[in-house]
Formats: sequence, C-alpha cells, structure tokens
Amino acid sequence: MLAERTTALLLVAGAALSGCGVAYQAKRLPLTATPARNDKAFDEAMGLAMQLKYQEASDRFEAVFPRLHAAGDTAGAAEAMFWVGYCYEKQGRKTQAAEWYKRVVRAYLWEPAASEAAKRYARLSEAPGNIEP
Amino acid sequence: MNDTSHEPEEKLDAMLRRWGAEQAVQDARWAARHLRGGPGPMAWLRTAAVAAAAVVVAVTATILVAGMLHDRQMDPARDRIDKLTGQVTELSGQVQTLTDDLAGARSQIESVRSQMAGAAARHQEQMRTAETERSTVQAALDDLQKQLLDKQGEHVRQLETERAKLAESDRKLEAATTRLAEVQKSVLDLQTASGTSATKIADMQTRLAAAGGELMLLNEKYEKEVAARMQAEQRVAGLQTEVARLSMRAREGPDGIPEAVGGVDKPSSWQERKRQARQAQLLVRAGRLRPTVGQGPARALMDRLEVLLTRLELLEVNDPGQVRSFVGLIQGSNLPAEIDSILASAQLTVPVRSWLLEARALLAENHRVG
Repeated sequence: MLAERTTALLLVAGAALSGCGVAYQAKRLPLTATPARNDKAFDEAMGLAMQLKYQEASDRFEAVFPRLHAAGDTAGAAEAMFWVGYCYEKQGRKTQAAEWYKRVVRAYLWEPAASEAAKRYARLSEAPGNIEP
Repeated sequence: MNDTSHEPEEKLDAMLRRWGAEQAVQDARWAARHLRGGPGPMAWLRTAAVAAAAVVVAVTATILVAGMLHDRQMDPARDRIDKLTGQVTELSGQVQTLTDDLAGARSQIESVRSQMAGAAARHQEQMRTAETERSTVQAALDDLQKQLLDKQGEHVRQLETERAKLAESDRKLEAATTRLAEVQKSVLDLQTASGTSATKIADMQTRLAAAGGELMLLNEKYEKEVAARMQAEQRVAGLQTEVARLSMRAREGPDGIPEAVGGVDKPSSWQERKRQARQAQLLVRAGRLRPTVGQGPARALMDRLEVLLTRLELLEVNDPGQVRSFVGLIQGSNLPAEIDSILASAQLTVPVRSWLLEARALLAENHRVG
C-alpha cells in the first residue's frame, strides 16, 4: 500500500515535471517546431475509442505507437501508449491499465501524455483493490 | 475251663518230651562214645536205652497221673497259680515287647546318632567350605572397597572439575545476560530511532505529497502564463499580419479595406478551450460523476465526451493535422444533438447536467481549424 502510494506520488511529481518540460519546450521551441502528425491509423483508433470499442481501439493503438516512435514522434507514441492504458481502464482491466500508464511515464517523461498517464495512475492507485500487487 | 485245665498238662507233656528227647540224645552220645570200644556193647546199649526210655515213660506217666490227681484236689490254688502264671506270661510278653521296643528305640537312637554324626560331619565340612568362601568373599570385598574408594576419589576429582566448569559457565552466563540486557537496550533505542525515522518518513511523504500538489499548481500557473504569452504572441502575429494587410489595402486604396478586423482565425481558440477545460476540471469531475449516472445512454455519452476531453488535453494545438483530426472527430459524432436529447429526456442530477452543458459549450460550438 505504501509502495503504491509512493509510486503514485513519484509519478505525479514526474508528471508535474513533465508538464513543466512541455511548457518549457513550448516556450523555447518555435511554434512550427512540433512535427505534424498525419497518421490515419491513429485517427481510426481514436474513432474506435469514441465509439466505445475499447478493445479494438487498444489493439490499434498498440500497433501504432512503435511506428510513431520509430518516426521520431515521441509525443504521438506516448499518446498512443496512453490510450492503450485508457482503453484497458475503461474495460475494467485496472492492472494492465496501470502498467501501461507507468510505461508511458518511464519512457516519455517529458511528453504531455506522461502527465495525464500519471494522473490517471494516481487515481487508480487511490481506489483500494484496483491494482493487483 | 476245660482248655485252661488242659494247658498245664500239655505243657508238662511238652516238657517231658523235650526232656526225653534230650535225655535220649545224651544217651545216644554216651552210647556212641562207648560204641567206639567194639560191637558187643552196642547191642547192650540199645537194650539199656530202650529200657531206660521205658522207665522214663513210665515215670512220666506216673507223674502225670499223680499231677492230675493232685490237680483235682488242689483246684482253687491251681486256678490262682494259672492266673498268676498267665499274668507272669503276659507280663513276660509285655516285658519282651518292651524289651523289643527298647531294642528298636536303641537301634533308632543309634541310627539317629549316626545320622547326627554324619550331619555334624557334613556341617563341619560346610563350615570349612563357608569359611573358605567367606575368606574369598572378604578378599573380593576388600578389593571392591579399594576400587570403590579409588573411584570415589576419581569422582570427587571430576566433581571438582565440573564445579569449576560450572562456575566458569555461571560467570559467562552472567556476562551474556549483561550483554543481552545491553543488546535489548540497544534494540529498544533502535526501535525508538526507527519510530522516529518512520515518523520522519511519513512527514517527508506528506511534504512530498504537498510539494507534488504545489508543483502541479505551479505547473498549471506556468502553463497559463505560457499560454497567455503564446496567445499574446499569436495576437501580435495576427495584428502584424492585419497591419501588413491593412497597409497593403491602404496602398491598394479605400475599397480594399475589409469590414472586420476580427475576422482573422484565432489559432489560440483550442488552446483557450483546453485551458477552460482544465480550469473547470471537466475530466476530474467526469470521474466523480460517472458512478451517479448508471449504465444508460447518459453514461455512454459521458464516456464519449471524456474521450474527447482527454484528447483535447493532449492535443497539440500548433499541429494543424492534429487539430483537423480532432475537429473531424467531433463533427463525426453528432454530439450537440445527442447532448440535447439526453438533457431533454434523461433524469439527470444538476451536477451531471451542468457538466454536459459545459462539455457541449467547449466541444460542440463554433469549430474552426486553427
């Protein structure tokens, strides 16, 4: 219990730092520096999530994020991983969701998706019995 | 009576016969001695013997007859004599019996005496044997006593050694007890220190949690400042563009001036909505309100709106491609009509209704690609 809470706190702190990092990047980088994302598979996965077809959506996101990462779109890759965790959470698979959220924070600490993943992980760990040890 | 009266006669008769026989034997012996002298005298002797025998018989018969006659005259005394004789005979028998018994007793005494002598001899033999055995046993006992004394001495020495060891063990035990007390005191000190450390850790965790919250607040404040600066920069850029266009229009003449300066698209609009969504904490409130709406269409609508709000939270507003995809996502969902329908039909609590209206205002109105 203490370990979970400590992990959640660290993730929140990391997320806050990642938020600072995003703001820092937004402040430092030119407005056109962010690589444009034009990924049809990502949009289709989002459409499935909008239709509440979480299992299909998570499958798509899992297929998408390695490609985005390989293309240098770390923000996109982080967001795709985040959406995998999100879809698991909505299916009630809290442990898998928490695992994916942690992976986002570990792999892409400075991306906005890491901040959101940390928040959701913290909310998951707050509820008793949500995450299996 | 008759038998009794005839007994003396028979005895007398027997005595006479015995006497006659003995006399005859003596005569015969005498005759034999004289017959060794020659054959003439033998015949004389035989005749004399016969004559003598006849004389004897005649005398005897005479005596018997005279006795019988005398007995008839002396009857009372005879009876008395007979009785006395019978008593004497009986007493003689008793004496004889007693004599026999005495002889038997004497022989028994002799037998017993011989047995006692044998027993005494055996006893003496046994005494000698016992004495020998006693001497042997005494010697063995002496040896055993000596061995026991030796062993006792050895045991005493061992006991002394053990006592010394025990004293040493007691001393060590006392030292160990003292050491144990010291260790227990150290453990107690460590436990106290551990409790203090746990308190410190809990305090640090509390401070860390507070710092995390403060950090998040600072982050939000910083993001707001950054957004405001970006918005100002964008406005400056828009104004610069507008100034350039007006300058160009001015150069072209009065007819070219557009009627509305504010007609410029505002790329900061999604950024502003993002800020508003964060400020209103729509995602956090969605998590709290979801359990209150059950599993009906309102719940599905809230889930879909949560997907959009989450996507908005992660949206990179400076990426036209992302904004275009996001707008397409909203436009393809027919959300305004669906929200209106739910608001009109479902029994919703005020917080849920308010949340839906705020989401509708943010997501379903005036979409423009930045």
